[in-house]
Amino acid sequence: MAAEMSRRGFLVGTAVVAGGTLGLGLWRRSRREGHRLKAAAPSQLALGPGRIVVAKGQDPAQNVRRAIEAVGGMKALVKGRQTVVIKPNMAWDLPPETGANANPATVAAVVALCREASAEARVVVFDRTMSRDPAGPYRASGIAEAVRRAGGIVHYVDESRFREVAIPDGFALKSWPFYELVLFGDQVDVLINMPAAKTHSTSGLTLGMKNVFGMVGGERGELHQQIHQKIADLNRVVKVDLTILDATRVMFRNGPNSPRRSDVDDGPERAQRIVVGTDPVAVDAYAAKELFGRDPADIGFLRYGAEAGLGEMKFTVREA
Amino acid sequence: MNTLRRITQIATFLVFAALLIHAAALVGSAFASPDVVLRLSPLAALATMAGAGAFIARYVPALCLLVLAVAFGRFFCGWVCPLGSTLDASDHVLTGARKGRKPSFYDRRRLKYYLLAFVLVGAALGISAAGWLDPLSIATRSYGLVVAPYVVWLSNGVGMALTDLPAGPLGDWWRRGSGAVVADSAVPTYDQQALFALLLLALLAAGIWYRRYWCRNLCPLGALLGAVSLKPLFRRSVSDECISCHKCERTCPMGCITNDGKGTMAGECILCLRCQDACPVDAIRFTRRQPREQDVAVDLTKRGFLATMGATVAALPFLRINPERHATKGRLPVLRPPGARPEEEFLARCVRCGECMRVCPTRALQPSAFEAGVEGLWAPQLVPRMGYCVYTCTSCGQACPSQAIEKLGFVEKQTRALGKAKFDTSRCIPWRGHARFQEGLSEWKDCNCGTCEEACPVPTKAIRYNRFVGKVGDKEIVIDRPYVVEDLCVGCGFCENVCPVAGDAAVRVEGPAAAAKVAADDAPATTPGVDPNRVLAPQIDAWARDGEVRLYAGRNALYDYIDGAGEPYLTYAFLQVAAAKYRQDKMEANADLWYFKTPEEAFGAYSRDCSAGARAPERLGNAAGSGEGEVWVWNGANYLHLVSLGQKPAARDDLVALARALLARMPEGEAKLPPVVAALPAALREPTSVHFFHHELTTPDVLPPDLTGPKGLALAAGQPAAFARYAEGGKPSHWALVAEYPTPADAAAAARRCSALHATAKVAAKAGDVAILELAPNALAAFIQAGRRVGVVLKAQGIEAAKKAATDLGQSLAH
Repeated sequence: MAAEMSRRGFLVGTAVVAGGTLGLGLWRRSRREGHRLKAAAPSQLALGPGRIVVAKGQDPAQNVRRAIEAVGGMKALVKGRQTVVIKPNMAWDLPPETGANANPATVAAVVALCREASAEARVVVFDRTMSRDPAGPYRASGIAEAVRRAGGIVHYVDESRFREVAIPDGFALKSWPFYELVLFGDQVDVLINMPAAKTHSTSGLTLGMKNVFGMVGGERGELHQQIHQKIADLNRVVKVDLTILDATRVMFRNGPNSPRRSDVDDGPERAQRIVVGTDPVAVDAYAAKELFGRDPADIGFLRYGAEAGLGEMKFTVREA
Repeated sequence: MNTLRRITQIATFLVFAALLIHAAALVGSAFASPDVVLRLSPLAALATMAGAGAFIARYVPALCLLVLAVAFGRFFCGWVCPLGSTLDASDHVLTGARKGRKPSFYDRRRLKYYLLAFVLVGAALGISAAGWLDPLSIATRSYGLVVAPYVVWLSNGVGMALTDLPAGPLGDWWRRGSGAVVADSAVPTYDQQALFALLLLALLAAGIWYRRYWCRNLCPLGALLGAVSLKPLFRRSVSDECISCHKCERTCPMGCITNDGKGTMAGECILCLRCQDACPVDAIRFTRRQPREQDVAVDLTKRGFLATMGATVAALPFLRINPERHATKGRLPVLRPPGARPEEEFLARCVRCGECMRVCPTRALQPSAFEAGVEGLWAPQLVPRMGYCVYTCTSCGQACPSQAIEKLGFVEKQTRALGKAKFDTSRCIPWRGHARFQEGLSEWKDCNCGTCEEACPVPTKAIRYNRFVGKVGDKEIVIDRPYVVEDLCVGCGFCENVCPVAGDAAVRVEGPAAAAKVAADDAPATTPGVDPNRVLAPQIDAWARDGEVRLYAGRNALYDYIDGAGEPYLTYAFLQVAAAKYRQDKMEANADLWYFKTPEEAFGAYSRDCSAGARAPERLGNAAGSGEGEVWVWNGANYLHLVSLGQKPAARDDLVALARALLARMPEGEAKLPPVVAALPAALREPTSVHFFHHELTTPDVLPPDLTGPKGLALAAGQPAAFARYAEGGKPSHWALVAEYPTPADAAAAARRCSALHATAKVAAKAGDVAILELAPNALAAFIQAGRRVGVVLKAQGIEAAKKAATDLGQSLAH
């Protein structure tokens, strides 16, 4: 059965296999280099610096629809065969009632809106979770299931796809690894950030700007020293086209991961709403002021964000 | 029959694989428990029960299989066992390698019987070896910890390569499709993966010498099933048509056919029926009857058996001498999974299958090597740097076939500590920064971290901050140095997991001394109706809030607020308190907004404070009073307390106005009074003197201790009582006290005891059938019982007043 092999055949075979493997590796590497960083997506949304839209009501999906329609509909942002990347907060292995993650209904509604805006668009949803195996939080948050139903693609972070990016003017960071899927123009056309509204033990609040922690690699813990500066620094790199803050529930104490229902407010007075804006600083400033009763100027990352020119702390609200 | 057997093997293997792949998702589902296959092993069942000295109900399927084996022998090996099926499947590769090889390798079937004896006798002696040798444990360990991660790795690699291809969605499709098959998204990594892979390969490679080498020579489960098949229904019997062509002998995977195809070794046949299909003359039947001479015994020897027993006993010290335990001064050198039984019993029960490691969502559970001694080999340990124990997860206990890890409820799980976290302040970033600050460094960089505190899943946080405030030049700097509240720490390892310090973490979880518990956290489980941040708003009329609203939820948090004087509030079913400071001009006021479980309890705390200091009632909330720089308000389940602070005391009007404005931000409270309070006559009562209590800590100080003590009313903890002062025409008239007892008989006994306390006192008057006693000049008392209540009149001013008070109280009690 075993065929004889000549010495020559052995050498040739080894060379062919080794060369092929090497070539494949080089080809893959070439595909990874020379990427252009993503630019802000061309948008006709009726939003801009300092301008935000709030939709209130008991049905989170309807809130999303009303808010997006009020600014010109998702067609103003998503077109053709674009890739839309949605980064909800689904970092925690906790169920939706805790408000620790974005609400699955909200995320599903955004996915559906993108799909309705363009049937050819790929809508990819991911988060770099607190757990090494993202399956737990993806499942517990209810988001993965809801996204699949809405026709989105649930993406699991591939640890080999983080790319170091220089931050020349950074307050505290000179460079940091970012995930390719939010970074490169050939991998993402539209980036939508979907934070939850929670208090945070280190940064005071976790809203849209802090949610960028789930778009980057590296040792998460290292970001917790000089956290306000670092939040602003990371936001200099990622070009978020739309921030949709999910305040269906508001974790008003013991955030960001309290499992307790008593730490969550789901009443109409400060929860049950969606905040939409293209200006990440303004969205967070609204949330800080209206949902948590905090002066935006007291929140370090908003101050640094405004200083870095990422947006404006003064906001004008339109109700949808 | 061959086809049917093969289909059964494939089907059972697919079930085994599906259970293993989707183990995490199956935990807690009604459909199937991930450990059902493991629970089929009578070997593990007998060994763990012998080792633990307890009946394990989850092993009932295994006991059923043992009973079935009496009639069906080793059919399990040939038709069901996933390891057997694996060996059968891999055999195709090895057939060629076996050809022409002279079988000279060790081939003694009795060895497995000796291994069986070692496992069972060892279990009784305290050696837990079943898990190392049980084929179902081996299969689960091999597939779960080696093959499954390998497949995920391959699948992810293909997915990655496809994503790089220009064809776009191919990668997404692959990931979606493979996601359904391999279930995992990240490659699970396990300690000793390579060792398990080598062991599996060794088992497969032994097929170079004989087919199913493991099954015929080594498997103690096979030995057990063979040994109990006392009344087999299907025995191989060969008729006279046999032409001794040896075809059956060659085809038998167990090599148990002897004597020119006519003999069968007892307890070796796995009923695979291959020989029947191979027989050219159809001479083989499986029936109850088998000619006696065709039954060949296995070559067991008495000497071998005795040697095994000797070896087992001799091996005992090597497994039990455990230097690791001495090295850690009695602490466990490893962290065990949540719900793990005490170490001895845990090891006796653990079958080393790795199912818990499969279902652990963070891959925190890893097979131990020799960290906990030789006997702990491959038992699960929690490695916080790999993963952490999810606060709300009880998967491992639900997947454990032998209940070495107990199946816990969520509440129970959260009270069992796996260990306790400890800070290494020489590594921790804020502590280091603080130390360097103290050393006088002129340049200071923000060294606050708090990653551990953020991660801590305990609702009230077991990691808290010790705040240091210092100055660099003119700049005030704050360093929050984390510390562990040991009573609350559950030892989940999340802090150690996320600690950004490279190498060893600055906070590490240490093994528990013994069954460490977590102190009860009675923090509110439901949302209290009133949100403190809404009520204690930043601006209330002219009052401006100074700083944040500080919230103290639960028993332990209260100590953070008022240490030493908090206990009275705890006796009143305390839930939480929110505190805020308000300023107006030079006036300062502190506002405490208390939350209790019920309006009655809130009234209790309110009445205790108010009765001690109030001068006048106020028309606020459900009841209120004001005193020197203080206002107390009862409003449903809340109690609002304002105190004037600072240089310029706030006037009563200012405080009342502030209280009114705060109350306007709250819904109207439910004015539900405790029944004993309602039993106090309302007429002539000083409204702010009412005091409801049910614990000695809150009993009014003015009451004589012998009255409330065991010789008098004998008020027990939890027993409701109320006290009030009465006045007529601005002059104090008397006091009244009402206590409620579980039964009328208890109440009568208490009233009798009270009267007996003053047996020598003169009866001054009678009000109905109640005697009014003269205790001292002008000090009159009466003790009245009605139903479950006892009423006491004290300090009455004059006979007539006492008579009236006793009559009123008697009537009021009856309601």
